[in-house]
Amino acid sequence: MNRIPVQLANAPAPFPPADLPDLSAAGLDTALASTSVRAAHGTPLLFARALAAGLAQDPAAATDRDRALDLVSVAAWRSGALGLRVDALDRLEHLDTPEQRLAAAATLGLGVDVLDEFRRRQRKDRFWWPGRADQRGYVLAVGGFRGIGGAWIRPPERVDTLADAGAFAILVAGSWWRLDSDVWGARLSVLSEAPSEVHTRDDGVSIVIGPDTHLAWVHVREQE
Amino acid sequence: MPDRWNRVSASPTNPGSGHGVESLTAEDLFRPAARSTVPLDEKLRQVYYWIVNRAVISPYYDMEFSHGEPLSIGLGDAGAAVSLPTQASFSSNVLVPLLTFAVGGKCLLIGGPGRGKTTVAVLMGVLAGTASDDVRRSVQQGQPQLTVSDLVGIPLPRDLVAAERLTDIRIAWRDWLGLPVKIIDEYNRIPTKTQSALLTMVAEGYVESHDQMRRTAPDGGVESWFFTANDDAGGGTFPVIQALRDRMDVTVQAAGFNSRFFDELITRVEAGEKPEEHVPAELTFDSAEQTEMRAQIRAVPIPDAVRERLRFFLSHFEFVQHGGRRFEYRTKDVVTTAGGRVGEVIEANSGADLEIDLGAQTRNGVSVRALQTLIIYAKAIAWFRGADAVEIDDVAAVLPFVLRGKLLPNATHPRFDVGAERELSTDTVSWLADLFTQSCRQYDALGRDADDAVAALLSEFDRGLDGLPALEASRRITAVEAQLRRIATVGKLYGRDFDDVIALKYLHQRYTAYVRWQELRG
Repeated sequence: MNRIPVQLANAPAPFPPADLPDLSAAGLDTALASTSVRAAHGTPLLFARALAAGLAQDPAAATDRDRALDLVSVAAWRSGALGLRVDALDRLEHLDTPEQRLAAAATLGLGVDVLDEFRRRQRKDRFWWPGRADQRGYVLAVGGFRGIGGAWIRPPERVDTLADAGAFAILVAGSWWRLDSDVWGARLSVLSEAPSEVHTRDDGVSIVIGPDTHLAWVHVREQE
Repeated sequence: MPDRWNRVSASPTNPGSGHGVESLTAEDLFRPAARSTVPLDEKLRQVYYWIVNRAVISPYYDMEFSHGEPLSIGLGDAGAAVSLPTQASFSSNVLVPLLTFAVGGKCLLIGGPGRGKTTVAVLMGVLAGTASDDVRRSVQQGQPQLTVSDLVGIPLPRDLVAAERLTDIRIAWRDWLGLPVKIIDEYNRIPTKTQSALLTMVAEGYVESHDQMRRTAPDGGVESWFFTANDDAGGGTFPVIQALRDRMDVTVQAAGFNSRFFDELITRVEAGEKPEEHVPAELTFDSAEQTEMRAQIRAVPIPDAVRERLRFFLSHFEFVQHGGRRFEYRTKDVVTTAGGRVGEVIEANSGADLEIDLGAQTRNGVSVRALQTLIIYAKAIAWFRGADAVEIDDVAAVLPFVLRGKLLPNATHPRFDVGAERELSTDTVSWLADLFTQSCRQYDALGRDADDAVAALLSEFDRGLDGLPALEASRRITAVEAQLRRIATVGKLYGRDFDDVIALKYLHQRYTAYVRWQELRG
């Protein structure tokens, strides 16, 4: 059966429908941010909803530039923009008030009770979120058949681990693809040549492929 | 705007360099992006995938690319087979119009009503940066009462009364004439006189009325034309004048609807959405990008190996034995312009091996205009695929769409009257593709890569005559004559021999003129 790529943390939909919030009172143009999120391979729709969910818990952030930037960073990361990961995690470490903690958790689509555990585990396990165990360790699927909007024309054949965290090289139909990923997002890019070095990591993360699927699944073996 | 329209292929659609993810901060999200750094070829691929995945429901992959032989699976008991290519392959009814947009060409979309021909053309207009409503409004609907004035505009009535000279009459030109993408719907319903006015626009890039002229191409930019027709066999309210038909760079058939994608169709009906209203802004091309795109396409090199095979393919078609008395006049064009029937002349040549002689399958040769088009479209698809140079597969992919309606089948050839081959009489694209495949096979069988004496003689000549000793020139004349005699020893003559003989005669003339000049000089 042909299936489409998925980020399991986003299925079912983690946020209620919402329009892109207005942060002009904080001097921020969210429409521009939304465009940048798209350029950073995030999903603008998810960005808008995550940001709106956070602001609902901390309305003061709409007029406070620094607090608004905290939520924007977390929402952009939550929407799949992998480039915001470090910035968002740093900001999560410096939440001063209960409202900020509530807002940050809401922006991530998590309960505030698991926020500290999420922060702690994310530092060493970029694929962790509370629902992972329910998915038997599966986190996300990438690729998919190009004929229905995916990336690949054949099932993936081989996977090598790359040096960067969350990065893998995947051989598909004679071409090597690079996968960068974490719990909220994944990005495929085509490599011009085969990876020169193969690395090994003992973090329990593996890519599951099979001859009858165009998808490559990221799976994490629980270690804690 | 519904997000489903807005999804542009996030991963590169073709090999590039995967450098991982660049770290960003929240502040970075509020800095206006520098002008898009997506290379133009990548952007065009994103457009293609957006169209086939979001806009036009077209799961057809008939422009195939494979490394090695694709897997082929026979279906049914009537010789049908489906092949599964190993490389990224494409829908011709989307890619061919898109390449036309990229090169600034003219594309004829054919097919029955309601198959998305106009939608594809309108999408091309939106890609050029024109608002979808304006593109829809600017579509020129072919109909039997369409006059030249309807098409180009009218003289201002006040000027008609007051003017003392024709040049004093100003014309209220129609707005569509200045758009980068021009669409003529059902062009085979346009009266012949109006077709002639259209021809001037298409062929010369200007339009004339009451001694006033207006250029149709946007300032320094690229213009492309899209025509639609329900018929490609001369039907329609008015027959299309040959000169206009010949201006169509490519002809592509609209694909039928695949019932497996019915749910998507229902969704669109329920939402009342039109794809052209949802083209993501980042997928449109401004005038500078279009100009740059065409320049990049033209710069794609065609390697010698590809040129040789293409040259060999072209050599088959002009020659027809008994087409004329003088050797140079033994061509299909001589027969046709004299009112003769090429098919009858081919049949009369009882010594010919019709299976080997690929030229016998056509009733004409390939025009220079068609060749120029073939070259630019082969470059375009190579560029689109991200190749550094044109490959033979690129030529094979676009050739049927370029030569459709130009290289015409000889219906009296046994090829179109035997068993399963009869299918080729209606499937012109497959026939043309097969013709090119057969030609490449012959090229290999003749060992032309290793042994091409005429090419060697031409290459020798291309090095120039400056300072060439008379003795060496004489030696080369002897070599040319020897090569002609070698060809003469073969009983049957083919198109490739015709071109070789003409080229050898040319060399002979140039060398003998050179020797004469040297003798006169003392």
